[in-house]
Amino acid sequence: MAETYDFLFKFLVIGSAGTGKSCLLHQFIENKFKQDSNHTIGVEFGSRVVNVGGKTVKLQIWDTAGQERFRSVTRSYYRGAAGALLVYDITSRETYNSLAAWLTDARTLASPNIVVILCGNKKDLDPEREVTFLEASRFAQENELMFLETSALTGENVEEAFLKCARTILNKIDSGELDPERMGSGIQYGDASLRQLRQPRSAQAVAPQPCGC
Amino acid sequence: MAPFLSSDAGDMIEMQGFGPSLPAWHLESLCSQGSSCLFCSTRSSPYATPSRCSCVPDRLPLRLLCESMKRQIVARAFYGWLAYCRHLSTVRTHLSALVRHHIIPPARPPGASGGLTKDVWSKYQKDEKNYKELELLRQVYYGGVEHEIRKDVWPFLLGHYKFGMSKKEMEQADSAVAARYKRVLAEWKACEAVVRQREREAQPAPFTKFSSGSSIDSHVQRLVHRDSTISNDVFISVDDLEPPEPPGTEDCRPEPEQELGAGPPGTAVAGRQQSVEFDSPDSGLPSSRNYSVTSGIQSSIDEGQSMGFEEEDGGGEEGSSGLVPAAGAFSEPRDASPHKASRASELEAGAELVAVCTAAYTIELLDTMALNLHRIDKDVQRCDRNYWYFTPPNLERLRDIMCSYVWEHLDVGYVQGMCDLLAPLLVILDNDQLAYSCFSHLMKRMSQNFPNGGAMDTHFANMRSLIQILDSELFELMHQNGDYTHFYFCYRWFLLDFKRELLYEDVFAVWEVIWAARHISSEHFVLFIALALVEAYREIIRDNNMDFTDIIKFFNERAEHHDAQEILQIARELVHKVQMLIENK
Repeated sequence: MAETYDFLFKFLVIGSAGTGKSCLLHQFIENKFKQDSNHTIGVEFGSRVVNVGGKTVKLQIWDTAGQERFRSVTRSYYRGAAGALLVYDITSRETYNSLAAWLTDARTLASPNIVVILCGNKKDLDPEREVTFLEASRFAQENELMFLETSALTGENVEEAFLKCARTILNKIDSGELDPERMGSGIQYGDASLRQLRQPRSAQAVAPQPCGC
Repeated sequence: MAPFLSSDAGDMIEMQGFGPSLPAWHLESLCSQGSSCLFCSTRSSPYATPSRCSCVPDRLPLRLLCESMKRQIVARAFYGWLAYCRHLSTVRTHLSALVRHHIIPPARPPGASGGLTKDVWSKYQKDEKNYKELELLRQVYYGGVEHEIRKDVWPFLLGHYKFGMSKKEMEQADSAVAARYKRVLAEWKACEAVVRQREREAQPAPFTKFSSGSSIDSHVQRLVHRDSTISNDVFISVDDLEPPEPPGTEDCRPEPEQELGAGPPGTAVAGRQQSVEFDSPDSGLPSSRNYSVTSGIQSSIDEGQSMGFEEEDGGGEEGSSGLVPAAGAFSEPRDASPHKASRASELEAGAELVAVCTAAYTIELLDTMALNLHRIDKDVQRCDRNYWYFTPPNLERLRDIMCSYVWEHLDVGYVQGMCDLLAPLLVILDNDQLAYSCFSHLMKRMSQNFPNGGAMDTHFANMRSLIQILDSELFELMHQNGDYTHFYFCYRWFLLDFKRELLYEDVFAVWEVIWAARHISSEHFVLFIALALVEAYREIIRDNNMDFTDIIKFFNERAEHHDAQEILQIARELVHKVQMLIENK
């Protein structure tokens, strides 16, 4: 039960409805395609410990609902996310067109420094493609995103997407660009002792005051 | 304790006030407070005491000091108690709205915990006038409905039938709903046909899908196909008004053309759906020949719109008002195009177009419907596909009902989660009209939980108060962990009436109790089920010192593993607890 890891990163999976967010997460966690996936309501959840550049990192991944109507709800989960997979469906231009709005949400609500990787999912459906690789990579470049085309069905590039994002965050920590200590950085140190450090503080608060007056 | 406190209260308040006319012993105690010397003998070093403390302990009568301390302690306790009582009474006033004050017990008359059985139900059906509605509901509340008769009982619980209706009245209710369903189905299917037609023209060949955004053609295509809000920017090409192809040659799946005649006069006109055509990128015409008439059409339509498809219950007015009646709103072409003067010939063609368009829908409506159909299709396909009932034909029925409901509520539109709520109804009732009617009834309550409905925040606030009153230990823990007083971990619970938290068989059992509870114990029974879920795992939550994230994760993982009957039992007990609390105030 007890996991040891050096860091914990909070990740988001965001993007329009039906782009395969839950399937990407499921593929990453379980290494298989989720056949009977239902649309996500509220938020779903997954975590996995990965090894990146000699460090063990626990990814705590929040999988969100896609329909815009739920955006106000989804937003409450954004806070303190270190990384995000921004997902669109390569066979649906509509999902590609709304990327900018999702990105704005992520940068304003999670953190301006959030590390985002753009994922053009459903790569296996190439004959039905509506968005070219070139067009999307241009968008990624303009918005300073990493970019991969993925397939939750075959598993192609799924692991890479998560790992790439994690690696970038680690690099930014190493270079000092990201400060894990800052509130809402979405990064926590993994050792259990640190988590317990938080407890005595609240214990002190309820301890009786020394003076009765 | 209370009487003692209140008799002493005068003194306490005086002490807290520290007015200028203090008696001598008060002054002395004030002195001791001012220098905080009560602890100086124990806290600071003995050498420091005389110099820093003005009141040397041995000069003060020890008894007086103790007295003062005692009073202060009692005062603090009293004020704490008073605040707590005030808080409690506020919460009680608040909570009293959550439950029915009259307690209906399971054991009087006995047997309610056995549930509503087939026997009882057949007795009721033979003698519906003399059976007490409340008695039946009480049995449902305490024991559920026998599976075999759910199909018959649910329409009563949901309000499609009323208890005490005669057979004839029930038939009347059925035929009214059947007629309405048939009409609505015809209405939106006619509209769907136009939407599909429009889509076909917007995407004539697969390769035109690649739009770089640079050419006007693709720009137009994008506007037509994707944009659901800016209807005034949609271009219409007059030159595309060719006679429609016969349906047989179309490559798409056959449209339900035969349905068209079934609708009321307003929809029958949709048989001329093909008249609305849009510029397509491969029309081969220079884009200069496109001109915008949409705004003109729009405004004419708005004027000619007095006749809508009002429902008898007034539920669908917003949604259906977009439909254009076949009135001659366009008998005179309006000066809609800014380029009128220079394009006389086109205006002529425009007049022709307008004449044909009388029978059509507003662009806005078409866009909205297209968007909703798209969303519904996406979700219906993946709705409960691991449950045996949802074979492709049954999914198609689910879609028809869903679209019909959405057509009548286009102002809200389809929201994810609606499918989840409809699916169990269809499974039990296995009848399209009935499921449609019952779903409409169910949504009267449930629609408020959806975004912008406002009920969700109220649920969260109520949960907070309930936990505070019924489980203060857990409340303290939650309070310490800060974040999850927002109770977002209950979001899905409330949105879907626990549908995703439970196995299908348990969903049936829980839902009918929720519906019956409304008349028996609480209109907000869902709150108590939510609370029961929290309580069922309270030790785990407490012992692991779970925070918001842990709790969301925990309950996501526990989904479909709950013991529904146990949860219901706890929930009923919690209602009873609150009822007792209120009674004993």
